[in-house]
Amino acid sequence: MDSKSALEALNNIDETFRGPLVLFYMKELSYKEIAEILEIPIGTVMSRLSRGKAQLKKSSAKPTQTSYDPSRERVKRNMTNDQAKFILQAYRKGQDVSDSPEMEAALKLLEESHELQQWYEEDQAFDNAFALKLENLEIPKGLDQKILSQVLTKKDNVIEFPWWKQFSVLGAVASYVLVIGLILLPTGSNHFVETVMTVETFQEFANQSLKNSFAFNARSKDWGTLVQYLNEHGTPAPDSLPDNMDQLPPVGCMTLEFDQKPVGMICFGKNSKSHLFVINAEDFPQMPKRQIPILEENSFATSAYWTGNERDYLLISSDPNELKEFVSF
Amino acid sequence: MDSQTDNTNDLDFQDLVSNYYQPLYRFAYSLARNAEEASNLAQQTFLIWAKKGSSLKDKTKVKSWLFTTLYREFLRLRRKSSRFPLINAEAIEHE
Repeated sequence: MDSKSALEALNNIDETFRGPLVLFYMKELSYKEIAEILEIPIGTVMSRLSRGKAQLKKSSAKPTQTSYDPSRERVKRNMTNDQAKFILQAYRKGQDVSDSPEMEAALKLLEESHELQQWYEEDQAFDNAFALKLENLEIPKGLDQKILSQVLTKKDNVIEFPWWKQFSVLGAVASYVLVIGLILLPTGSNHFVETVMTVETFQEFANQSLKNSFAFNARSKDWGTLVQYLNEHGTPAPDSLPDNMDQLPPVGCMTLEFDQKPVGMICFGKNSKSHLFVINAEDFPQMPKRQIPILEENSFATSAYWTGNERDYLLISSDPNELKEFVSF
Repeated sequence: MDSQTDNTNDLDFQDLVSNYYQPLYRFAYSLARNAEEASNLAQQTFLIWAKKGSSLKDKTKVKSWLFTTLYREFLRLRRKSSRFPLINAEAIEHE
């Protein structure tokens, strides 16, 4: 039985049996869980498993299976070998059978009957072979990455960060405040317009990321661990931090993407209200150079953009007080 | 991200995906018998998790929650896509 024929065999099975069979062969779930998932009683799971397996064996190369189906009979007493086979097909090694007298009776019969033991060994071999083939089912390449990126960027399926909820209510007003706030700042730069636009884009990206993301890629209370995680995932991590900023405990980090370039984010601070976004300077050569982080405060958040050695940083916080010690105004 | 979000998001999402996307895909494949639909079902399941699942109180139920959600999603999509064919099939059966 190669993996293709295993799946073809599965294709020939009635839909009613496919679900229970696959959940059974994946060995991930208990009967109780399978019953809950398929919203059917445990007894029905067992009987669908037995009948499904009978179909499966019939449509596989080796037709060794009894066609006996006692599902409408009472089989507790004077169980025959055929009845026991039907029940044992749904048995899983190590399974708790104390709440199933039929299963107990079938197992007892298995101990006594040599014929049944031989059959059972073959049945187990079939199970193992099929489970293995199922395991070898080809998973589309990059499916996990696709899921991750889709979920992390999907705008319609947002779990917002609580403090940004306020911001999303402000909506368009807030972005005006942001622009005005930046225009009013004396930057002294010759590329005033460009500076505003690029830092603004970065801020907008940071804001969107915070609104649309819901879970960290990694969590730690240690800056080093998070930096290591980001480095290992090809994501820019801080190469240096403003004085003593690393004294504030981090919470977790995320790997993001902006215009197909990696962006790292570390969330930190006493109430997880501060977020440091990091980009590779060489990925965004148009970004302005600012050596010293200067907090820019407006009505919805406080932010600072600055340039490190090989990284550019954007810090956004809803609690400026905890940053005042480390970043000048 | 405040402390409440921290508590309810204790399960790291990346771990969740890497632990379960394969068994979920296999289950989806057995239902849909089609690689593309199976991929979509697996993705959709994690999207629904992102939307609702992180509010799940009992973290030991995560696994069966994911499978249950995938199964329901499969049934829902099939009902949706076969609404008219189903009615026709029924009409034919009753003839």
